[in-house]
Amino acid sequence: MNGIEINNVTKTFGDTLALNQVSLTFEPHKIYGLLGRNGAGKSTLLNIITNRLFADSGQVTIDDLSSVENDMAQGLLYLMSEKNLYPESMTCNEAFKWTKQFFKDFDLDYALNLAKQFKLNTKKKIRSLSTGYTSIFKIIIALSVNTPYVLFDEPVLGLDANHREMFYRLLIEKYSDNPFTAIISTHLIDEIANLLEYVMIIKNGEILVNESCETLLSNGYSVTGTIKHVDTFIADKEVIGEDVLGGLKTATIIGSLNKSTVPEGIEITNLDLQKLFIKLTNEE
Amino acid sequence: MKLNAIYKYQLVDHRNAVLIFCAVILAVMALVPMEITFSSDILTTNQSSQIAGLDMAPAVFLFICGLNAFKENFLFALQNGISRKSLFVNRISVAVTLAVAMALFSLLLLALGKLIESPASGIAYSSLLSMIYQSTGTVPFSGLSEYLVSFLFLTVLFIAAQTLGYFITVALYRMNKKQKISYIVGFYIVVFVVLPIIDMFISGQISTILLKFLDISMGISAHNPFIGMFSLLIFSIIATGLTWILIRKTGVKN
Repeated sequence: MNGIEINNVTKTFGDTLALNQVSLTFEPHKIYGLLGRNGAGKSTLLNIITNRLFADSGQVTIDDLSSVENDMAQGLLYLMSEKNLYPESMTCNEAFKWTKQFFKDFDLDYALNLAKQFKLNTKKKIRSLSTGYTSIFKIIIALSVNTPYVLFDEPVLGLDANHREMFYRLLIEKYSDNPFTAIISTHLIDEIANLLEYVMIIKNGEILVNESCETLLSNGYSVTGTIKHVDTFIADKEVIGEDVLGGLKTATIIGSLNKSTVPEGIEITNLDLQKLFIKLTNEE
Repeated sequence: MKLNAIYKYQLVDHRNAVLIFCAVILAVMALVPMEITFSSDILTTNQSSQIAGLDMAPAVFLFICGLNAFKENFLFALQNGISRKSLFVNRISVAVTLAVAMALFSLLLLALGKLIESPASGIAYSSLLSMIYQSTGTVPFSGLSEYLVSFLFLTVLFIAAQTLGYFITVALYRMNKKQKISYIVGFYIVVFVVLPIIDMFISGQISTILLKFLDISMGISAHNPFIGMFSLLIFSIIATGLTWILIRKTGVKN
């Protein structure tokens, strides 16, 4: 298994350059976060990998098989997309049964069990599901499909906090039981930061960051303390974000930390991925 | 497995519509003798009732099936990792399957028509094949040859009807909203307004040419359904080729 390899992929929509010479690799059995602002090119990239769109140039291979118009390659992955591609008049049960016909490893019993846990009425037609339950319906298929690569495009759209928590827990459980490659594209960075092994940040159709989460977060740190203490400590440092709550202040700093210089009353924590993301993707 | 599934899925997609259609047509067939039995007018005046070209209905029905066979199936296929090529090849298989099934159904109608047809009952049944290719003075189709030629002709006709419907729906899918409106409105204006007006000013030359083309390409004057089958087949092949050109690079639209 060589994973998903993307080589020099470019895609334009009219005058808009959605992806510009993008090259990256998604290795087997890892959890990736594909992050970017609205219109950065995340969904376009996922759609090109899954043969839903064609790249203007460049190649995508899945375990060394070309992804373009290749049933065998496409059988190795599943994209849970933001856009619903299931017939709206189909019931959830029917969709599960048809998915079993297309993906031989789809676990129907597991899917029904998840539906029970999420309280999804599988007799309902897809068109009658709320935004949240449409996401849940697609999450259930994605978690039950058992393909080596599962791509999630905005998986928690419309989900309440409890259901989001449940999804993250199920994803980790599934990954622990039977490792697979998960690529998660989401705007809720704080919530998935602990799940991710690798982070890829796209900005204006180009890859800005492609690093392990650990390496990325070692580029900085956060400090918390009284406003006075924190202001003194960060005076000569590169600060990428500040939050004040009551008398307490938290600042996110880029750079290495010399622990011996940390004064009393200051608490050091890991770098906040969301803060780093905002800093990196800000246009200014 | 996946290829079987997309064939099965596309076929099942038509199942309910086909069953309802067949039930309606059979009900119509059953109503005719009932209507004649209970109609005192016909019994007293010895009039006859003619059922003609009932097998044209499946052609219209399958045209509509073709019109409804693309968007949902295309998106569902992509969701399940099916390539455009596999979807299209299996669509052709589904079209042939439906055409053969409907042609067999039409033969059943023909057999039922022959059963209820008699001077005593006052019912005359004529198939589409007889209507198009038989005229006074020619040898009528009869017996097994009628069934065989009807089956072949209807199968090809039904394939052509679905192919046309599928081509139209794929072409419309590829267009944006403005293009769709322009093409649909433009088509109606050209066909139902511009052409008839021009035709009127040039003493019906356009309609004469069109009718002559239809006559020759369908082998009507020659009383030869095989010419018609050949033309329909050529039409289906061209329409299928054009449809593939439209499908092969199409993507998911937002």
